Amino acid sequence: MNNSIILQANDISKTFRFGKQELAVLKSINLSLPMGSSLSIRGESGCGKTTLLNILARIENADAGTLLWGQRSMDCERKARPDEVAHRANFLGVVYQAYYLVPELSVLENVTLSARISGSLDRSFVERAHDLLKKMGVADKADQIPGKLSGGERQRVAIARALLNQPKVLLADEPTGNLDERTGEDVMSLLLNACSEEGASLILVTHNQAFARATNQQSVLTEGKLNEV
Amino acid sequence: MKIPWPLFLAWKQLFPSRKIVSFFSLLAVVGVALGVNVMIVVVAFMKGFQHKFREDIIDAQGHARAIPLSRTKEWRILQNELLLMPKVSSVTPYLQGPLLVQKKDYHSVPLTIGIDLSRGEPVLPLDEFLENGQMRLEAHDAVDVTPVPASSSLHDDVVFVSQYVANRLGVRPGAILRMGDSKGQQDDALGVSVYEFSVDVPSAEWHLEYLGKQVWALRSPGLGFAREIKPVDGLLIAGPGTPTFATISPFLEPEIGAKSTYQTFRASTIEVFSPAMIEQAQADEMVPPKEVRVGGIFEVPWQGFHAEAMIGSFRMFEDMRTTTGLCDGMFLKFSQDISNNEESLYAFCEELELARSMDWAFVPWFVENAWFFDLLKFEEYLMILIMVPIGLVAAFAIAIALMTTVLRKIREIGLLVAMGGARGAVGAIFCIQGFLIGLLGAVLGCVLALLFIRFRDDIMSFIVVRIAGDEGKVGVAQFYDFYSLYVPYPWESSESASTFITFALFAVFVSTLAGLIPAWRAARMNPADALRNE
Repeated sequence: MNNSIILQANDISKTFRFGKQELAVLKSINLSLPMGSSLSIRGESGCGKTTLLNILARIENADAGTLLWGQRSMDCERKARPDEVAHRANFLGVVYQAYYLVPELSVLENVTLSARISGSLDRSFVERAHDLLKKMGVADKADQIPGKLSGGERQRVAIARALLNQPKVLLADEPTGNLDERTGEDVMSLLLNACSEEGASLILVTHNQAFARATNQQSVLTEGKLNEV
Repeated sequence: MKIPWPLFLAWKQLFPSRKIVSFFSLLAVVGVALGVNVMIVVVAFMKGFQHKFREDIIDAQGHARAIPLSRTKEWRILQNELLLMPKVSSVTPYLQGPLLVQKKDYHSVPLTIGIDLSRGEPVLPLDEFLENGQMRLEAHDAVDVTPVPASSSLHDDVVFVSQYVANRLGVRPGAILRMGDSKGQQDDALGVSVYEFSVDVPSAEWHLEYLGKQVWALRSPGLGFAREIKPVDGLLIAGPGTPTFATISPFLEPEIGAKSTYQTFRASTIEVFSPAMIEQAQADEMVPPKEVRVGGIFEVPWQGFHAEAMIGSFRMFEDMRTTTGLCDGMFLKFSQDISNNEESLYAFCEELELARSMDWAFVPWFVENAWFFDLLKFEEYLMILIMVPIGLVAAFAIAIALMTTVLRKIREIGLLVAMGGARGAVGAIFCIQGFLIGLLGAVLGCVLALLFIRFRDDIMSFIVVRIAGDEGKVGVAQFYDFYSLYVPYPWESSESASTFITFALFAVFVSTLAGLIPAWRAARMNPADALRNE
């Protein structure tokens, strides 16, 4: 195994079953992500991009295949074990298209939520959360609730939240999908810069070719196969 | 201190940041609080009524009754024995039975009790009953200053009658009114009160005048009575057949020549016939009835006491029966260590019974009135039976509300699992929410119940006056005696504390239970499916 590979997927397959109908969305997908690099995945809507991200994040099981998170090897057919779930909190950060901020929590509480869940929340995490919010340009919104923020601001907060635990890999699922072009560009620029500064590898699912081109590797998911561009 | 994250999120969902409380939380907590309040208040008041009835019954018949199983003339020996026991505080022997009473053409057959007040404090608080029953006369130019009749005035030619009998026969005890001046103005220049008003004071007008140097004059021109009197121990006693006055203070001297006018009304006389007398009359024998004076009107708070009743002296009853040395029973009162606990009271009665070779039955008050308390208990259980489903309905409402929250927050639930949250911990958020709603609702419900108990009279008056006017308020006071109801606070009585704690715990338990279903639903949710949810 190459030591510089931070995330590797081998022969990942996934088929959805609807009664007697079957839909194979992922067919023996292989993927390698070197440390500090970025990979974009494009593809038509419904082609299985989000499913692939979910499998990489061990939120969803595959029908076959193995996964490597750094040195940790996992069988994707079975459910994530508690230790893998706990490891995920520090290894991976996820940014979603729809932000998924908890509306009852303030911006700062949302950002520190992952540390709170992992039981490691302390003063240093709060300071880091403030730093990340500052980096994302929303430091003045720390005490606001998400409902008072614009879409772009919410996504910046979501990126800060994903980066709080200093993850090795950031999975971004169409992070600009709900934003206008200009805001999307700003957010993407912040995302790429933040990953670079934090040393996090990035897997970016996007429809936008320009954003895809900004990553080190580009690939397209078509008919269940991941093809490098 | 680190707060477990499920507790933190549960709290935040109820009390979000930058908001005092969420609307859902407010409704749920208030709902639980109202339920707890109602349950506590209903049970506390039921217990208050039970306590009141208990006190009233004990007042009306003592802690127990000794009933001879055969006619015995040895009752005085038993009375002496009982009075020597430190656990027995008072004994009142009685005779009872129906007597026919008559006033002109009006008749009544009250249950008559002849009591012997010669040996110590009476078991029945007769003075209180007389105070309850006193009816004052009303006049625009006079004030009724009749003192409350005392049990000490229960001589052999005096009876006390219940309000029912008084109304039926149209009789009343004697009364004394202080008259106003020619303009109807009341000027109590003498500063004296009427101390005693015996049944033999005739109807007449009286003038009481201060002559100076602690000498007073009492005159009744109609009766041709005039006497100068000096106070003895502050009392102005002019002799039999006159009212006795009391000076307010020996240091306050009225002006010389200051005068007050009083009008007295003699106590009604009634004729009393025993069953034997009636039988003799039916056999055309001339039997003169016994004439007695009405010394007072009494009212027993215990509704189970005979409404048509008369109390006379033991000797008068013996005379009417033409038997001596017999007794129908004894009212007994015991020391507090015995009477406070029903079990020890029952055991003591049994002990007394066994020691007397079963010649006497000693019946505790709660055995004699078991039917009534069984009824009250049944009513209390019925109330609880009705309220528990209400509590469960509230629990369902909470469960539905929490379930709605789960459905609304499906994607957040997925996110929490994706962020490393254990499924059990995610489920716990909703369970904890149910627990917190129950806990806060229980605390608020207890506070509301305390406020309700504290201001119960005001609340009751407010409601009753608006529904039935001032007359309704009087009715509530008279019929239920609501305003004198003893409803203890939890720190005053362990029973009250247990009522509060029981219903508070019930609310917390049911509310937590209500959170379990949504919690279970949330815990078994697939995070990927949850995140995909639209």
